[in-house]
Amino acid sequence: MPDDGEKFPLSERLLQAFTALSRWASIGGSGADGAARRQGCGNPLTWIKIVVFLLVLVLCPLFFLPIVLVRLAQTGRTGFRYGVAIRTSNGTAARWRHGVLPPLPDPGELRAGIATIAGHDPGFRARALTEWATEASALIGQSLVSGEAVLTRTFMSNGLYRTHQALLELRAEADVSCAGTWQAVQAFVVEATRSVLEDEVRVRVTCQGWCWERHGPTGVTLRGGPDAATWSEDLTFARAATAVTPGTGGLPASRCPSCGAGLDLDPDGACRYCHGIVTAGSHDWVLVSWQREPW
Amino acid sequence: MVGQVVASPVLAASGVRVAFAVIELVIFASWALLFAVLIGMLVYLTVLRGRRERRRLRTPPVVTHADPRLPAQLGEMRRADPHFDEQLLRDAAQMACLVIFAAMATGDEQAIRRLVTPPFWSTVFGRWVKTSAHDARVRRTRGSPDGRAARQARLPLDYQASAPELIDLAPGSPQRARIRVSFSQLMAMIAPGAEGQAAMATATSLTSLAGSFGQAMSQRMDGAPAGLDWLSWDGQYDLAFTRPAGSRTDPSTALARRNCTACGRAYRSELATACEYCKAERPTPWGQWRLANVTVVDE
Repeated sequence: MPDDGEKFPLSERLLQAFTALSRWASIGGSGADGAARRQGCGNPLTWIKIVVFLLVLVLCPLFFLPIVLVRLAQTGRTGFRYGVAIRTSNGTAARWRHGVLPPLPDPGELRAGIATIAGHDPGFRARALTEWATEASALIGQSLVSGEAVLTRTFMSNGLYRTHQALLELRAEADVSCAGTWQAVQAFVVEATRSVLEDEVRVRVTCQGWCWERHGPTGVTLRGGPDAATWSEDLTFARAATAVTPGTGGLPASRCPSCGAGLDLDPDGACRYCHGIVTAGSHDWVLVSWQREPW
Repeated sequence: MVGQVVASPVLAASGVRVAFAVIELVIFASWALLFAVLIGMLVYLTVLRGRRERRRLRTPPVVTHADPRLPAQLGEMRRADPHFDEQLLRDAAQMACLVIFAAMATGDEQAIRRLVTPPFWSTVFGRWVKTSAHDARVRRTRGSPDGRAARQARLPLDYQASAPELIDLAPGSPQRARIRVSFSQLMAMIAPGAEGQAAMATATSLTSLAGSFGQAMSQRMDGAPAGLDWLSWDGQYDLAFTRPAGSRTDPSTALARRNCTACGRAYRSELATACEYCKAERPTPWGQWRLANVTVVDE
């Protein structure tokens, strides 16, 4: 039985108890002496095990049927609706649909969005963000290859940084490795919006190079390969609607948006000089989303 | 008197036969009913999924906007909680989605347990996450002792999410907030019959369901080498967060701390819920906000 305080349903507890009984009945299987001889048809415990197993097998519907019916009555149609609403896919459809970038909005909307943000913040320069996006894309690439999230600390929002770090840990635990080199060849703003809460700018970066993901123990290629390829990445930057570009240039210029000192963050994302939380998006632009199209 | 003595064992034997016959009938009926219910559910789910896919292709995605009363709600919230920061809620939403992905990929529910309210597990989405995490744990348990883990692996490959958006805020009792996020996750499956297994999990018609089932079974029985397939899950979801009335944001906890505040040592992992040295619980940067429910947007 697990001792971590987790509550298992009755069905699972019964199965665990049965498994424990089975193991107990076959104790000594690995022994080199007489213990091993207790196994097989001569062992009365084996017979008990067989009878119990057959009984459980024959009677299991009596146990499971009420559970299934009660669960069905509880979830009803909602459960089925949720079951189908969760969009799952497999095979090459899954491989090539994951990460498909959203379509580009109307150029008129883009111009209007940039003008609205610039109207509120005269220091806003879209070009500064595209250059920053190029640097950020390269650092994210290095982070994926090395498995070190800290490279992305200076531009990712706290939430994105934590998810990026956790994803790298999950991949490392599953022995998924990434190799490759690539560089950004083009970057341009594709969307700019301003709402009552925040400003948001999406930059599309075109990358060229190679990227190869493999599973360590089996050597199976999971995605990509050593051949040259081209793909796009969308980097979405956001900041609070009240924020304006700092006089020092802020994060894109490697300056603390709070105190103006050279950017030097502690591992928690706070400035080492003024201790301001500069990656929260309330002072300056931060990266809130990174999406790479199938490659 | 003699006749009664003779008749009793006969009656008893007859009674036992009848009892056994009834038990047999009950067992047979329950088997039949269980199969009928399970197959019926599978068929219904598959047909419904196919219908939904076709409808998705025909109709454009629903675009909804934040509650127009949001600025007023934010003002009210900030009056009650001067340090309230909606960015913390967005961070919480991003982390919650990733943690759900982690639970489904590895079976480890510890990280998600401390992000959600107890009633979350009674919601449809909560049950689904719990079942998926349990399945992942079973796969890992079965795979590890004899070294077959690599042959039956489901590998968390990628996770991408849009920028989370605050949709509405209710500074009542309890306080509620709704965050909308789109995300897509990708897992690779390495197992004998991986293609069939993955196809079964995502079948949208009875034909594809039967075909993939046959494919998975035949590949397993033939002892086919481990194959590769991918499983993806994507969609747009509303995450409902709650916290008790009167709660206030503590600005000193707003950072995602990498080191334990009690003993100063680094946490083992981003998903760690406690310090592995001093066992002190790891504080969450978003204070008392907890995930109460997840709903699918296009519902």
